Amino acid sequence: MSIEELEVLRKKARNGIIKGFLISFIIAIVIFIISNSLFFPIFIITFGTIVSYLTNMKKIRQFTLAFKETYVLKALKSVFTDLIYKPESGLNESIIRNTGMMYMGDRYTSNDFISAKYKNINVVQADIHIEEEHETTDSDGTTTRTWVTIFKGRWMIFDFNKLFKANIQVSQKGFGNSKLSNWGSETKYKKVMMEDQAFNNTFRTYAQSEHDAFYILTPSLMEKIKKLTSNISGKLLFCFIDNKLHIGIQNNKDSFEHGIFTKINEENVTKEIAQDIKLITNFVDELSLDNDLFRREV
Amino acid sequence: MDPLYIIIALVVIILIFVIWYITTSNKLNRSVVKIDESLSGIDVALTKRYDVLTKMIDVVKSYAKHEKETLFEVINLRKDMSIKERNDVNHAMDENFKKINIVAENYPELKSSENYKTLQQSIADVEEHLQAARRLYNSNVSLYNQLLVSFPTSIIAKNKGMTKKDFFEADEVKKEDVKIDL
Repeated sequence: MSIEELEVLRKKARNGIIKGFLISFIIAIVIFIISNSLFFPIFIITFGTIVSYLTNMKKIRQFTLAFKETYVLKALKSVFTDLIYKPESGLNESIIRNTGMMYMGDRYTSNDFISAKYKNINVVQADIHIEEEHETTDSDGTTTRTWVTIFKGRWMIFDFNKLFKANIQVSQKGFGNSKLSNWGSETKYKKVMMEDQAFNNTFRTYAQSEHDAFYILTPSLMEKIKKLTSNISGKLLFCFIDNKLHIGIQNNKDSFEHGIFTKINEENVTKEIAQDIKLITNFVDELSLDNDLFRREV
Repeated sequence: MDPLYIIIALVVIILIFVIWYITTSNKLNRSVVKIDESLSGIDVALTKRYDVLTKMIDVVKSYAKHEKETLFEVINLRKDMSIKERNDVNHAMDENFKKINIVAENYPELKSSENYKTLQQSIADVEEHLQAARRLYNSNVSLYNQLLVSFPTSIIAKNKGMTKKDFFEADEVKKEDVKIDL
């Protein structure tokens, strides 16, 4: 699809929402003049905008899919092999749950599923959003329900270049929403203090076997993790499980997206998508995951 | 002052001392257990290294039957070795690996054999395990030794006859084994 065709789709979706907003705004002004009260006009504007957004969902979806088909897929194909890209699918909730690193809250959504190979390493990633429902009751007894984000960002799964038996969890301090728990796991996790004090100051490490923690977290890997952490905005967690490396990046961002209110600038779009892709490939490059020196056993 | 208060105060002080003594003593005992556990990790890694070395020597000997000068050091792995003995065994293995590399240089068909290549790769993994075991052991020894010199823990440690433990030395030579041309 050409940029002009995409722009037509974007404008259709945008104009639909603007129309809805303007109509509700005019109605709100009329009601304000008649009633001289602010409550109903604000309610109408809010309600009208939501209705307008919902009625234009199809157009927004149409634009988003076309955008991803045109720009994201093309960019992904240029970097990865064996690519499967499903913009509307995501990672199964059980995959995240099984790492034992995340409190799963009450609502889970995931999209932008990518399964591919980079430097012959299997890579899987998706955007994920985990929310928890909060209920508050005021003095009048009115109950308000709100959704609080527990995790919003990206989840990536890589082949790891070492074989190990025990699971290891490393989470950046201040990763406020991981609730490390021994519940349900056959082998208990123990807190591990690595010999690198700077690493211990930044990360909490839990492992089912201390030896495996030291085997996986070599001084060189710890240095690389520290370097990556300082270069990435957002909090990181690493989970070594079933010979795979899971990486969670809590950056409150939805990757590979383009808003309907922003004009498509091909240069900027290409740059942003390249950055989103680089976030994946960086882990393979920086952590040398393609080095398979340790994968074989006699 | 009422003698009763003095007695209560004394009992409280003694109780606090007893609790502190038991807690600190247990902490020291746990440290020793952790060191012993991590020492067994070193033994496992050394045994693995020894096994790979033995296999490699067999492979080398089958290719280099006429290599009279290469005498591999005899290694005696046994239980209950001291840290110094473990270090010596490790050094002896290093020497043997060096000799294997020298012999392999003269026999290109040996170097290119699948069996040799697989063993070379497994060395890298065994080395990683040994390094992990060494780092874990040394980390535990470091914490234990720090406890021994920290006041007032040092009083209990002295009372229990505890002494500083030796580190399992890092060996630069071993790292050469990991850098393999395949």
